[in-house]
Amino acid sequence: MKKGKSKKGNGGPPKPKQDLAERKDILKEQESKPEEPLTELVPEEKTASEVIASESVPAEEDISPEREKETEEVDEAEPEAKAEDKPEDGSRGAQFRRLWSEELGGARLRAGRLWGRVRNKNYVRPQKGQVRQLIRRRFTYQELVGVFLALCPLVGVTASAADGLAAGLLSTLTVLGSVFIIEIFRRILPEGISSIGHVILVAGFTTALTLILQAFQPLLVEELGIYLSMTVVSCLTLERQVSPSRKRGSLFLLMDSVITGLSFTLMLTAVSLLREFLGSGALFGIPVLGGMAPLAIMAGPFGGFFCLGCVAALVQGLQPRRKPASERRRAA
Amino acid sequence: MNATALLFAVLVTVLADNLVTIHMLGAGELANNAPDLKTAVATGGVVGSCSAIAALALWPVDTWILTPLGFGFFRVLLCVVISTVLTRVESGLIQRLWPETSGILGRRFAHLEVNSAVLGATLLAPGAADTFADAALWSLSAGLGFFLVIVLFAGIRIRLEFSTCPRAFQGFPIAMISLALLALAFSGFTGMFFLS
Repeated sequence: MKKGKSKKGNGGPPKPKQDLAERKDILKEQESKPEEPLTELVPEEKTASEVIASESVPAEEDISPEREKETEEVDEAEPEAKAEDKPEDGSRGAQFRRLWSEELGGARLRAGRLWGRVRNKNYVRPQKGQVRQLIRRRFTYQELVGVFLALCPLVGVTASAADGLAAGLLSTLTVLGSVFIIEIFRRILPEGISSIGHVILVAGFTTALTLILQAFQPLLVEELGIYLSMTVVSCLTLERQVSPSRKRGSLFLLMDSVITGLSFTLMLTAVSLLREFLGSGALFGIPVLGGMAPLAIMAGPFGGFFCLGCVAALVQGLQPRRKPASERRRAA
Repeated sequence: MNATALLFAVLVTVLADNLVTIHMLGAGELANNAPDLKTAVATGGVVGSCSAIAALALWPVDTWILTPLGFGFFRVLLCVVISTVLTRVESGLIQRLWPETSGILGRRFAHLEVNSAVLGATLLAPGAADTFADAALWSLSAGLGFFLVIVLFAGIRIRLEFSTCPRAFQGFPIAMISLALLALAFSGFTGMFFLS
């Protein structure tokens, strides 16, 4: 019965004759029964059918009287269900569904075409030796000295080692995520706006990361403040977009981003450790100086720049001295 | 607001609430800049004006639209878009009007497009000012503060070029330690009675 009703609502094709004949038989049987409570439902049913009629296509006018009679054989619980179902089953709902399926089909087509354009053919599996070489290269003194320039916008978070470590790891995540997104979108970004596109993508990724952090670690977001957003402008993030590692494939570039991010985290944590030790006499929040008073000046901006300079000097000082060109020639 | 109060408000932002020496933003531009007064003036002019205009442009958007509607999280995205577009427009204007300055800055425009001073100024402005007039004053003073520090620091770096220092401290480390001393000098202004 319900099926017939829904088809009527849709204004769909008429039913096969067999069904009609069966229903006529059923109707005759029921007419012979003197039960009358169903008549109470008729007004409701009529109103519902009126609603349909007002919304539906004119084809519905052709419905045979037998079918109208069918609608009367409804259980007491059904009218409510039908009243709920009708907007879905009505012609408008069907139209909407049809449109939706068409749209979805179109979207699938478009997505397929887009994927064809986006598809990155740069997936080259990096070899084992290459990765080891990359790690070795990224942790050389020269590269680590280069990282300090990227560290400048984040000097503000170095007051505590935990914040420094968190900011470093978040920067690594930002670099990795932004490189991943940009590797996907690189082909469809026009050349002229590529740099702006990169920055906006990175900013979007940072915003998403901030929102996620706000949900799980609101205290950390509060502590980092505006410096969390500074990962956008850190040249660590932007430098990766023009990195020569791209020539070796996307996976290699992603690995490079992780390794550079980790070296960045290491340096940021080193600076924060030194500043926290001098400024508040603690390491990761645990007091270590005992009764000695810490240098309050180190907790301010002076301490930030000073510790950054000192750690950079330490790294630069540990760098093995390069022999003069004349000596190198002689050795060769 | 009379003239004295206006002057003190500017002095507070330039000296006691400086973008570089107090908020520690834009240090990368200072260290990366060539030790040359002309370049420093050009960079300071571009970044200072950009941070002033960007902060001024974002304050009404943030205070009147984003915060009441609960879209505060769009701030960073909007800041980045505004600062990047603004720097591009400014670089185009400079190339037209003062080709010499454009020649001095050269490739550095690409680096100036996204820098922490402009982003920091735009993000700090909504918290620093309550009214639009205050915001205008604050952003202009913040830009001026950055200009002052970069020019001062260029003078220090010129001196550093001619001084001898241990190998470990050459280049970036000594620049950072000089900047730390400059920050220490600037932090002295915070205790002044008329600025507090």
